[in-house]
Amino acid sequence: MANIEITDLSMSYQKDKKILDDLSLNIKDGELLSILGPSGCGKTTMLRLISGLIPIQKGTIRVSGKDISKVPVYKRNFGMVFQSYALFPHMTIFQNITFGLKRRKLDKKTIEKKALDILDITGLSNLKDRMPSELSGGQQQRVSLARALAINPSVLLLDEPLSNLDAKLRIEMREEIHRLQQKLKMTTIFVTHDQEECFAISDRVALMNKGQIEQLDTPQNIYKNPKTEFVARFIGYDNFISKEWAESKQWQFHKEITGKLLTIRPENIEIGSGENNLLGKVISKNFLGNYYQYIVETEIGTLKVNTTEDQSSTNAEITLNFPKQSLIELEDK
Amino acid sequence: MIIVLLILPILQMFLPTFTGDQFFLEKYLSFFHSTGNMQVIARTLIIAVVTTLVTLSLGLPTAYWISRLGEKWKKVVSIIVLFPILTNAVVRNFAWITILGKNGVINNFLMQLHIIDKPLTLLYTNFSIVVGSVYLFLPIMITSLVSSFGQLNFEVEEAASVIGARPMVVFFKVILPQLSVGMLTGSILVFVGSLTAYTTPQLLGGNKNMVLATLLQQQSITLGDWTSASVVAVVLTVIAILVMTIMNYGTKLLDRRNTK
Repeated sequence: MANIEITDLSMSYQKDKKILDDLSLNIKDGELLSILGPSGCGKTTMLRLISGLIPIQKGTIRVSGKDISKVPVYKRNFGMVFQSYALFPHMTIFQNITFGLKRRKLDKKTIEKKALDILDITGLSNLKDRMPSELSGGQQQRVSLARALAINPSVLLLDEPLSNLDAKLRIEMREEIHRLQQKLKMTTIFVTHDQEECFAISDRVALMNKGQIEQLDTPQNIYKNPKTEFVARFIGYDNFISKEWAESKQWQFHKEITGKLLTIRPENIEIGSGENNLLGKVISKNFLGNYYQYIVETEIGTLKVNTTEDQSSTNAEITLNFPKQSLIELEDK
Repeated sequence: MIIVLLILPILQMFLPTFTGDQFFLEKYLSFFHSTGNMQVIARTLIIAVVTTLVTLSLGLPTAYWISRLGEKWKKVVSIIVLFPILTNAVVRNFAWITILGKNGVINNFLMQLHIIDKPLTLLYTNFSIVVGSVYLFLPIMITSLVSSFGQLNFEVEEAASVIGARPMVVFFKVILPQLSVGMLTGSILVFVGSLTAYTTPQLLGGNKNMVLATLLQQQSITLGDWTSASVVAVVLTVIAILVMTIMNYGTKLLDRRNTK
């Protein structure tokens, strides 16, 4: 239906504080792309620029090859789901869903048929005469999704749609979004700060920091091969080792290392001696359900080590092993 | 105690219309038969309606603007807006006399620019009563609208525009319906307030442009005709209660639609 090309997009509210900094990004037709990042990284601003809710200062956004910079928000034919659901409180669910359809020159029968169809595929048919205030949070967000999809948008924009829901509903709703997106093959941009929900449903993930994209990749690649220290930290690599130090200890690597920094996930460090060893002292031990976490003090700083079995105790002197295939090299920045 | 103190004056107001030689309904009938009295009722209602509509149309944009200000400025502007209520009624109206009078600010200004040759009659007209009433009641309208705007979620407006609503459609189909309760509450307060206001119509309307409240004063204090005064008072009260009931019912209907 539509692909999106974003070129050199910049945005600043104050003179020398850039929210977006020459950002470029291509989103493929029918793809579900997530924009992941901490609050303040510019991800919501980017979504609002795409939607047209705020005007573009610099750069271009093309949808299916057409520059949309001058197209007003109400003519872009996008669907958007907000964190606060943003349903029309004075309208029934049915009226909420037909609102967008009524803005298009369609006859009454077509509007009704389209609305009933979308109520059907989102499983909301039995709620159509209720008011939004009578619905639970999960139901309201489902209506919000249905309202966005009813107009058959060329692009679906999701602005942290799951943040206001409780843990169980969040999983349910994200599966629902995924199912509908696959069914309708709609180009979708999903903005979130939650790595789990974004990895679960995205085709690709753009990890953002300070108005720029740090890494654009599939969820698997981002998880297994973070490119920069920021990405590594954001997705839970808590241990960083300088290459210089590792070389001085004659550590072995599975390939030649060019960068200055190495990282390893807490669960990949082993307790006991092996190919790359380091002595440390356990300063605290925490049981976290499916694993134990040890905070270990070493000569290169405090490290986190996760194991599935209880292997040590507080104040114990231990040897840590860093298997060479688990050591990941980061790019210099 | 409170109930006694509340009810006693009301009974006192009704009672004179029941006593005396005439059957009580006749007093009301003769009141309504007088064309002069009917004119007063009509003028009172028209002034109240116009005042309500003007405060509503001035209040909406102002309240919208205030609701979008930052927290700090919101407080400052709210105090400035409430200022007219805090001043003494006589002082406030004398200010308008100096502005609207034959040698007032407006006439002097227009004469000096040679837009008019003779001073306009602005003071002691229905117009001047409306001006004074709007000035008095605008703060009340703005305050009730601001709280209504405060409950709006701006994302709802954005949601409407993304799925195709132009700004006008967003305003009339999304914003305005959500404000209906605040608009009605403000309108009730302003309408009933200007219906029963005395000082403003007295000082700015003069003796020619009488409204129910000034008529009441004339009958009782000036003429000492307490029976007729009671009739006027009852008519005024009944109109006020009637309007309030209708509008309250409207508010309930809207409320039910919102929170069914």
